[in-house]
Amino acid sequence: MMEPDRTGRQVFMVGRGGQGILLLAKALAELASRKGMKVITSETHGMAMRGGTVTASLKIGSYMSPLIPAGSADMLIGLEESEAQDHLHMLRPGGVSVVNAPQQGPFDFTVDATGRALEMGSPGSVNMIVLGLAASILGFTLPEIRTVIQEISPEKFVSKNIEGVEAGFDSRESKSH
Amino acid sequence: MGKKILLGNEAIAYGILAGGANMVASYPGTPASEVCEAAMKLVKKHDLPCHVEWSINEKTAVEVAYANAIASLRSAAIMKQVGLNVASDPVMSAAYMGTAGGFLLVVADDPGPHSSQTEQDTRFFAMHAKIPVLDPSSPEEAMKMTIEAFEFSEQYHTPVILRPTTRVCHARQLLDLPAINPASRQPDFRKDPYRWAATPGPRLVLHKELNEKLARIALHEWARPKRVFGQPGARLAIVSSGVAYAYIMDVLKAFDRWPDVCVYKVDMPYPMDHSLLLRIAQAHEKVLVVEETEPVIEMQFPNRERVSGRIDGTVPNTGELTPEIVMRVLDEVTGVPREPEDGAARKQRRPSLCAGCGHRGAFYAIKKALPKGIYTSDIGCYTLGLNLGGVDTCLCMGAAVSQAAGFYHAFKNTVNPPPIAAIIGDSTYFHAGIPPTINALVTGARFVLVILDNATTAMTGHQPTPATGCVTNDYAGRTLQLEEVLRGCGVQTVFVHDPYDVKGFTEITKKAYSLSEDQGVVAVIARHPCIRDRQALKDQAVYAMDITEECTACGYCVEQFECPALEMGDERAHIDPSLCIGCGVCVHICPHNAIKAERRL
Ligand code: SF4
Ligand code: SF4
Repeated sequence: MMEPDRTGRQVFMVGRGGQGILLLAKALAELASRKGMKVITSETHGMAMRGGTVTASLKIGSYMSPLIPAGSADMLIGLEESEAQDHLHMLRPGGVSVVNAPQQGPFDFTVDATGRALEMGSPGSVNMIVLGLAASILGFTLPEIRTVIQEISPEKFVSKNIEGVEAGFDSRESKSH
Repeated sequence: MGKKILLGNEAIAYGILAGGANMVASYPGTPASEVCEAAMKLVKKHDLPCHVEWSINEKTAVEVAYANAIASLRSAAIMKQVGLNVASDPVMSAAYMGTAGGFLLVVADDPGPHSSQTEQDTRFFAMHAKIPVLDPSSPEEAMKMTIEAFEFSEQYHTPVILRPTTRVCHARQLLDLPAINPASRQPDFRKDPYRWAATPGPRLVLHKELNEKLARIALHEWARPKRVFGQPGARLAIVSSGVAYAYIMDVLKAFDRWPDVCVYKVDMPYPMDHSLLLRIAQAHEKVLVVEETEPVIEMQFPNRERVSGRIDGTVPNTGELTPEIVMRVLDEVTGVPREPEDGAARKQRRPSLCAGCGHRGAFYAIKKALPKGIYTSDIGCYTLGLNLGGVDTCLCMGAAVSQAAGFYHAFKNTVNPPPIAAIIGDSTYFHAGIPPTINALVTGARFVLVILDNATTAMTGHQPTPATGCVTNDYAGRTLQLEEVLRGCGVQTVFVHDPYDVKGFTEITKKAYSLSEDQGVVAVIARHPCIRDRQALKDQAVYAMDITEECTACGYCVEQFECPALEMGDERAHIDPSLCIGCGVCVHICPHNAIKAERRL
């Protein structure tokens, strides 16, 4: 019998179609792989992307399959509050939730990404703000995140996206002070 | 060539080009669409001698690609599982005829289904067609199998099917990129009419030859299940393929509550080495087959006394397998007590047409113009018109047009036959709407044919259409407008109107219906670019929206127009500014004139 392998990290992401969850998942996968870790992700395409519930998963470590069993995610990232609420069961005991919500509610980490994005004049940046926060909790540094965003964003959106992740990254610092 | 995180479908595209393909032909369909897209990009980037095309439909894609293969070059035709239904005619014959150059069919299945009409299992189709089929469990394996499939195809002179599922197509994995060298082969078509143009007599000979070929293939190493985990004498043997195999391996590694288990992996579910299956069934106390979506491997066990799986209901026989289901099945089979599951039903938000989508105005106008009508529709984003009561049927590609004719004939002798509108997208119309249009006209059917023309294949990620051109990597070829096609099919009147003008579109639809009394089929092209096309979006007027206190909270706009940006509050409706694109169309919907729009510059 093989030793059970619990060294990996599993991140479950949820939002609504059109919120840019795929770019978020891709960015986290790139960040992890650049640290020499094995990654496998799963994403939703097609019909559901038209405003339906969209989920993505990222597994870091020696996994073979892309899906995360319920109750075993180390982190839940929610781009939308009610979707996050509906998927809290994905977390393992002790797993953390990182959610776009104006109030803390039942979540561990929150940022009012919708509000911040509107202030920044780019309502589409919600995903990047939440990414900034989640990536900081996962231990990635701002320069690492900037590099990845630069490479994977469509050219026109690079500066907006970087502005977004910076806002999300800083939102955690301001909370702990 | 380094490492890169690749989507499963990109990995397959790398495999196709690293395998030396000179041709890639495809029609888009989730979950297969990104294969051809990625191939087109790679061919341009590496300047490869490879023709890549978005064909008009899957049947055409297969036929174009097959000709290239019998000219001794390597070809890949790519589609989703229901696309294979469309292509089944040439595929069935190609199995008999065999191939000269490597001929790979990539057919993506969609257990769930997430974005398809059926959960059909292409491995079954492969068995029916007598074509070897590979079942990759990850992007990495899909790439490797794709590269090797071309050699295999040439070795046995047979088409080969690669059957990834959604979870392989849309997984991303860090992969070693293969070397891509320009294919240097020259075409060589050896005339052999008894093969390439066989009449029924010689077909019998080809069928015998095919059976012999399959018997030889069943001895290939791909045809042998391999034990990859656990001891040879384990009490329970799990036999699995595809992504289900990956779930099994992950849960066995993560939890240690199932002792005395071994796992056999199947690479090629058809044809298989049956003697080996027999031996597995004899060597273990119990055999559990875990596969998606039909019992293809399970059925091939010569003796199923100790075998369980989908046939006896141990594994659910509908829906996608997930790690949770796999764990539940393992618990049941091994007798591990389970904690009761929390039975909470999970809400899934239903998808809807995008905020500002031009289709919404068209559906609303058609309902106004032809109340109590029958609205036959089709496959694409616009199937979501069913949320606003604008879609009564959705069968398969092109059926909007044929079903409209069928309903007409069904009701034509009744006292008050309902008005009928066929509602179909531009790409779908090109794909399968043309023959049924001709059929409707020559059989005397009467209906309004509405073509929702957003100048793209939106649902699957914006592939080009014959009207937009650029369907190949080298930009060769002309464009063909819908108007030309419709007139060529014999449609006498073709209206073209922007469905953002809901009132105007309603009038035109009414007029079209009255004209149809004489002309049979009258076409209305609803032309508004997909708002997901950023350039098109830039070019359209933007309005600042507001709902005033004249709103009576009647809910009409939310129910009948169903823009996701419109939501009902307690006292009045609201517009969610993070979703609204400011198209201004809802202004014309509110019966109380409560929705106001102000042009923004
Ligand atoms: S905006 Fe108009 S249609 Fe919508 S709820 Fe208010 S009154 Fe009814
Ligand atoms: S203007 Fe009205 S119809 Fe258009 S996107 Fe906004 S809410 Fe929807």
